[in-house]
Amino acid sequence: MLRILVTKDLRRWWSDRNAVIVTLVLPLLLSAVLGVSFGGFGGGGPSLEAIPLAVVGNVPAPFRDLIDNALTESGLFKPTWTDSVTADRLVSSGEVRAALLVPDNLTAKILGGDDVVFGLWKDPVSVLQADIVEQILSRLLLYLRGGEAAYYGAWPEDWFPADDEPSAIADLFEGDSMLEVWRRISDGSPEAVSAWDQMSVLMDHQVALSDAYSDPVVNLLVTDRSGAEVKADQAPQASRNMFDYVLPGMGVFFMMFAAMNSAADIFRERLGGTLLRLFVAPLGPYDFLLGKWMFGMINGLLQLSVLFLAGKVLFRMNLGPEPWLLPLVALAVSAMLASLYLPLAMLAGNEKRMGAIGTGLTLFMGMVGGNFIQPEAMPPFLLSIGRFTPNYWANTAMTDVIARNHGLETVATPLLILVLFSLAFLGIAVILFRGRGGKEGLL
Amino acid sequence: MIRVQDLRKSFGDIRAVNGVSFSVGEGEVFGLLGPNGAGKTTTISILATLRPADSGQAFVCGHDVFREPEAVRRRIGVVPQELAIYEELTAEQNLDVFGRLYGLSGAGLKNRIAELLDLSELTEHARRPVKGFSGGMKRRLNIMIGLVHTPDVLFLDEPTVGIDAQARSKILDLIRGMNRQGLTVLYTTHYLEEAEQLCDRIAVIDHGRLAAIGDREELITQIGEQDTVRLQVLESLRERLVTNAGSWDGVAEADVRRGKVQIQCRDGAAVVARLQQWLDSEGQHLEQLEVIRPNLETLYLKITGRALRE
Repeated sequence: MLRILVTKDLRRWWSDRNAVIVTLVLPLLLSAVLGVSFGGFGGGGPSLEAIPLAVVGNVPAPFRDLIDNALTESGLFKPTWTDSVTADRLVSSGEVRAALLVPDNLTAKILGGDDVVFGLWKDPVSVLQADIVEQILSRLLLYLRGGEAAYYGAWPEDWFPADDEPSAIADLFEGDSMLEVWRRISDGSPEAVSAWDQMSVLMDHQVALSDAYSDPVVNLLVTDRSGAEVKADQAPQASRNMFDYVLPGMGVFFMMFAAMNSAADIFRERLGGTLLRLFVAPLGPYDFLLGKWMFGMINGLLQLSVLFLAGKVLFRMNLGPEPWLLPLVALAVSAMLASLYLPLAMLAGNEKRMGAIGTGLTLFMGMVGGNFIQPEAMPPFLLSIGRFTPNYWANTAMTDVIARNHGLETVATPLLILVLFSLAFLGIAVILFRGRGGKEGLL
Repeated sequence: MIRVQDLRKSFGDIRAVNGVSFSVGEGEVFGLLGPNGAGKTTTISILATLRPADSGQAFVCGHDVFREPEAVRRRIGVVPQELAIYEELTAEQNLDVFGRLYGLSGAGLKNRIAELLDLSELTEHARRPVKGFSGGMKRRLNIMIGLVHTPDVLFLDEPTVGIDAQARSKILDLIRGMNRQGLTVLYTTHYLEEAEQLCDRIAVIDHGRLAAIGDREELITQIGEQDTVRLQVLESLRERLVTNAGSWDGVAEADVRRGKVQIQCRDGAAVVARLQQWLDSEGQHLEQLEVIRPNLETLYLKITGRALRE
């Protein structure tokens, strides 16, 4: 019976041009607008405001300037040099997104070829910006890695001849052909031998330089506030595509309206008389409700599929660490949204009233549930309310996979909560259906 | 096929159905005639297992409507007052959905759909979305959906509302055809002429109560409504005719109104024959004669005290 009811609604949906546009074309437009605004075609990132960053360390002037310039000139950071206590306070209060800890005796370590480890404290609440800090710093530190250090350590500036000094190597290679150069080297003159030796040393240094680049000695160690290392498997590589951070919230918000429209179909069936006809057919008492729920779920899955497909193809959206995880999240989100408005449909009495109440409810839930603003940017009291809304968990599950690249271990909790919300809403709808006197009440 | 005993249903203070009793035989077309709000749709809703009654008994095809609703649903077809069809779907898809809900499938369902489309003259339009259909075509499809699972009893709730005379005539023909094949029909309407043309028996319902029930003749008898014979004769004969006619069998009253003799009688045809004999014996002939038989409109007015469309 359920299959017949769902097939019927799918056929109706497919035959209704407006419904198809709402389900398939609008998600495409949504992803296009978000992608162009936040991701750029091909997944390029937007320009970001300079991120406040505390820098802690007793570093001699040349290296301090080097680090400061690298951070500032990148245009991404606004560094503040401070002590560790202040840095901790700044990170805790959210005034800076992270604190970079420069190790003691940095110069000696670099010149001595020892391992150099920079520490990083990240603000755990501001996950998005803190992750971006980590990504960018990792790249900036490449400049400081063994290559540069080894280069300056092994090639002091006074080694190079001044512009007006004669250069033995240049003399050696002067001429029109390689044959002439070879003859000059074969002569065995003291100048040629000296130039050749000098060139051999140069070659050795080039090899050392290459080795130093491939075997870095400067690393970034991410720690929590207690100083404990946060290992790579505990902190998966987060996405650097802003599209990935914006899509879940906006996508879920859009789907909430589509789900409301889907639940309101009960009123359209009642007004058209088909509800009466279905109730006269030998259906189980709750088949009709379950059929509407399943159709809503399939509709939601279709919308998410379009969103994800467009996001992936056009904007290189991240699909998460496992290929099956995002579909699982999509299923849970769709199931929750499909049941979300069924209790309201049982209570509202008519489509107009449901539209008015549902729109207000959706806007409120969108506001407190983190659909408009990233949860990390929301005031704590609003966030504490938001955790009671189902869309918060839908946003969290999708953001965890798409933006934070988390696996099932992290996503399991929001997934479970979404399933519980689905069952709760469905149960409430059934209770209200019975409370209204079953079929008679709905007719 | 249908037996209803002292059925009652109230909505708050309003008694929608107030002690209704009737029965419908197999293959009969039974009409429930009454104005809007009389209780017709509520009665059908109860019989179709959509609403519980407050009290009373109802049986359809031998099944208790309140205790065996599933069994009843399998034996009945319902054609609601609204156009209960999915406008986005084609005629064929509409029939397919409801056929499957009743457990039909495969070749059986396909053949049944083809048969119904043919019966309703919609075969050519089978694969067109219903939203492009005319009102009459939609009404015909609405009825066919109620028949897709070959029910024994069909409840038709004002199936001709809002369509033109030609489309209405087609629908009435359709119902007659189905009835000839043995289908029992419970038909509600507030169109008197439809009820008169189509129904074997009629129950007049008003304010939730059955005011009268029976075929046309029985209703006339129940209500005491009579034929009227009106004739024009020579002025000199009028008074003698009135005096004589008053003593004839079956004549209730005879008098002169607006220059014509008017005779109220049980059987107009018998009085006309007797009248002819009397005129012959007097060596006179009729100048003008009309026999007025009571119609449903007259009956309805007499029963409810108001016109049906008020």
